[in-house]
Amino acid sequence: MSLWPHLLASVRSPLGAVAALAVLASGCLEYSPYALPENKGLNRKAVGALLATPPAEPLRVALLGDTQLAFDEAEDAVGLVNGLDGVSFAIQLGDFTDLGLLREYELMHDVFARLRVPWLVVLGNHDMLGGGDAIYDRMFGARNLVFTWGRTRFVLLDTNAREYGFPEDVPDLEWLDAQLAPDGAHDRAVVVAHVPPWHEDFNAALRQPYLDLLAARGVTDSFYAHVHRYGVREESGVRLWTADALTGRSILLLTLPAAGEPLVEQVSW
Amino acid sequence: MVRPARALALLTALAAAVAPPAPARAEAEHASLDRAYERDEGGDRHWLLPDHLTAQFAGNVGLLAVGGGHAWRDDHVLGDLLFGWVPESVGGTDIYQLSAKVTWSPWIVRLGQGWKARPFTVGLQVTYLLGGDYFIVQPSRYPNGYYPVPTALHPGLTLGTSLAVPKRYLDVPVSIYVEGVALGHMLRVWAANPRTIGPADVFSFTAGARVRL
Repeated sequence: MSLWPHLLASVRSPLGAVAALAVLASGCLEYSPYALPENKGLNRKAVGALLATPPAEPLRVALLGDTQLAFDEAEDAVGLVNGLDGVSFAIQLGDFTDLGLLREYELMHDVFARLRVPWLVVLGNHDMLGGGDAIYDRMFGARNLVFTWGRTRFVLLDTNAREYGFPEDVPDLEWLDAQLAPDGAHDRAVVVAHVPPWHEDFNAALRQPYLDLLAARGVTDSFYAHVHRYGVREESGVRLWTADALTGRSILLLTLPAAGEPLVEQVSW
Repeated sequence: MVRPARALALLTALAAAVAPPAPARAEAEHASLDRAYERDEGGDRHWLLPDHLTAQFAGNVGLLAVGGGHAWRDDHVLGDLLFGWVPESVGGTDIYQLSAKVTWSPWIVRLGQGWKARPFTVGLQVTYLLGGDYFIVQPSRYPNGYYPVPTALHPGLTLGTSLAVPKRYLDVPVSIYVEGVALGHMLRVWAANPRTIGPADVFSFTAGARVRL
């Protein structure tokens, strides 16, 4: 019994051909919108790649705001970062996805994979929707991350308090204090997170303790996204920068010279 | 926005669908001598009982989903209700979901000797994810309208083709189908990002079978 003539006959019609093409064009198998990927630990791998290279002088980091739904703009931003001088690595400041779907994570990952420098992703509130938080844990790793490079301590912090129902430990100030305490390995520190401390989605009870902690530990600049608007405000002696969403076609560029003040520029395209 | 060229191609394909191919037209006009798919005249089948049982692989309904459904409009419209499961070894966590599908075939082509094809099928499906990680109505910790889209419900579009195998091969009337499935959210992503996203990014492959009862 040969099945082929009958199968071919079923697609002889024009729309049958369209349907067949749709089937053939199917990129992959999807079992569930929030199925989990394998463990990838991409943030740790990026840090490993970065630490394997000698620190640049000055140190330059590209900071990208919310990428949700903005794949075309993300591709533009990747091209922009690849064309900039002296950028050592990039951090996406959260809301990598819109609904936390596995497919969104995978497709945005494919766009960012074209970056020629290591890149990390901060957890955003949208990334936690449905099973998205578990996808983030598998794909990127720990929700609070710290590393030191070029005498600079970088902290990626989970500030998505509303998603957890405003518990006492989001952000985890005890952990943060321990990472920022002087230890001879770093002279300065940069803290990045998704939700800014002045926002209503940040735990209001922790706002001032958080700012006091940053000030006490000598953090002069910290970076956030979430609000889809470029801006900066100073509270308790700490500059709080927000990056625009990528739909606004701009990113932030942080330059840390060995001596002197950090420089933050908004770079648009 | 969807590019005009893409919209035009889609409209052309739809316009071409008005007339089925010549051989199919000839076959369709003949009354089939194969009674395999004729419903028993005068049989009073209770409306709750399914017309067919269904099993499907992938397509966002699960690793494997089983269920059944009904046929309407002389088998041109098929409905399925499927219970799907993704085991932890495949999906990273045990996932259970319920999916409802409605699939429409503009024409059914008799190929002779009991073979029948639905050369083109288009359908809508909605998947409901079971479990506390997902919501239809957002939990009270969020202000009104914070997340306008429910995370427990996922509509999707299916485009496919299907072939019915005569009863004499498998002892039961079985139709097998293959489809490309796209989640509604990913179609929206595609429409908003025509440069970076293409159909292979949003459509995934699925295959299934229906056994006529």
